[in-house]
Amino acid sequence: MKYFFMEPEVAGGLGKNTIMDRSTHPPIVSKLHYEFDGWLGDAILESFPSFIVTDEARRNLQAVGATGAAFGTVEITASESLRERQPGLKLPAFVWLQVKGVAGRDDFGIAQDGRLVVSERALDILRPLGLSHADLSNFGEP
Amino acid sequence: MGEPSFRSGVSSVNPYEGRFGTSTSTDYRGTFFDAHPELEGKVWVHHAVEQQTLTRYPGVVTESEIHSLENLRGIPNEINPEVHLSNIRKEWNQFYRQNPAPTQQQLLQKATEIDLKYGWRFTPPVGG
Repeated sequence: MKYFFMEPEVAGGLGKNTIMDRSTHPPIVSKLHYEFDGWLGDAILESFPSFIVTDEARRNLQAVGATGAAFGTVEITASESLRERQPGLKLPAFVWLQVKGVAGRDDFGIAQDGRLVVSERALDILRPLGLSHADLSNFGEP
Repeated sequence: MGEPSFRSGVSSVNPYEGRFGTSTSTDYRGTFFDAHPELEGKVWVHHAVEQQTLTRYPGVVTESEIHSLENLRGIPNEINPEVHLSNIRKEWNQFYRQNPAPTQQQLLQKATEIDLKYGWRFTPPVGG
């Protein structure tokens, strides 16, 4: 199986209701609030150290038994700029993708430098749902 | 921004550096368009040092500094998706990954680096 570093689209940032422990790095997030400031359409998004995916992506990943991933609730809001500029924008449902796997072994893992590592199988699930703005590079085949 | 200085007959140009001012308002779009009314509707107002640094690094930057005119940039609507939504956000995300506890100076250095890279495409342009 091939594995890839992935730097997903960053469609906004951590909102003010995020709760995280900054005494470690990466910080440990216990409540995630993702504030959109624009969205180019990808199904997986990042705001370090957290990732979110569309609910459709979650369903498809769970259907194939993707490893290294758990899912949780995320609070989603749109920034003031986004609301003013695109008042009719409807965002799909998103969920928190909690990456718990080992990079290069599970479908989702975190490399030592903090980057997301995904399997080819996970990419095959995400690509048809939108992955045009993620940067990908080879992680290698263990 | 690049004021020439002269000393002992030798001329030099001060390098560009991003900086904060102060603002009494959190209405940053209002602050920007008060200064540049002709740009309303034409640019997306972006924080050079991102607003979320208030959440990520409490106490390093104040709300007054974040929303100051000196920290605001106008990105033309037609290039906003490519420049702001994609390139700049990814650069900041990498910075957050690599810097657990930056100082205010380090945040400004990153903003300066981004201004120097993309600022010529902003309206008004920044970065010298």
